[in-house]
Amino acid sequence: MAQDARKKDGGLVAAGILLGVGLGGFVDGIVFHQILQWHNMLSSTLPPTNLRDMKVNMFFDGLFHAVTWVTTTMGLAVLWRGFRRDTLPRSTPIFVGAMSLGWGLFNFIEGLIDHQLFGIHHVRPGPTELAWDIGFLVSGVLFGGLGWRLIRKGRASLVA
Amino acid sequence: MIQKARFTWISMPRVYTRLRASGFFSAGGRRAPPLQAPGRMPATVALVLACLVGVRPTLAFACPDCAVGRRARTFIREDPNTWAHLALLLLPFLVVWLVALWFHHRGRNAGIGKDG
Repeated sequence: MAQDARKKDGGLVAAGILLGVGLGGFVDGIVFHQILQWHNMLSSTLPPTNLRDMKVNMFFDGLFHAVTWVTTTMGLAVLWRGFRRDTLPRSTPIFVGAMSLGWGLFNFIEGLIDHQLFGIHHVRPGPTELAWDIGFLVSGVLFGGLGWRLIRKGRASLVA
Repeated sequence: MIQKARFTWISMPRVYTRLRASGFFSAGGRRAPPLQAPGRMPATVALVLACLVGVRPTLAFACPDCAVGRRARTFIREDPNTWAHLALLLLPFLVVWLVALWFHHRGRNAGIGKDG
């Protein structure tokens, strides 16, 4: 613990954020895009109401998953590099908090850009789409807030 | 008519006939250039999926080299909004990557000051 207190936690937070974005993105992709078949990437500009448009949406969903995979790999690389150089504190609250922060941050930013500003898709298209979109933003704030609290708690326990 | 039909493994020959009629397979099922091209779903896999899994032939028709697949790829290539959509897909990721980078460089020293 004393040794950990002398290490920068930036790498751990960065790795956690990237892994949180990646794992959160996979939950989004698997649960919303594939199982529920909501939240398809272009569902507002190109509603998947026929096979061709469904395939186009599927293509962009695939790109989303590909970038999510790249982000997860980046997180793992940052984490592994930090562990190999022994520059990261071993703090579970900081790591879990950073993952939660990453997930929340991504939900919030994605919701803001793609749902609210440009409207290329919504969480669940239809008459209640605004409610679902706001719920998505709120989930981002909640995950992010919880993550930030955990990071602060982890930092405090390292100092103690 | 084809889209509404539902086949199971029992009616495998019938599915095969339909797929052949749709142009997916050549006679004998051995030389079907589009499906046997490298990287494409082999004809046998499409057939087994269509029959054993009990899916509707419509799904089998969604294979990479069928007409719908070609139309979808053409649409993606020719749609003037494709790059904008791609940019909007990437933008949220870019923002969180920058946030992660910021944390990486400015990470707190956990109680001993910034300069460590």
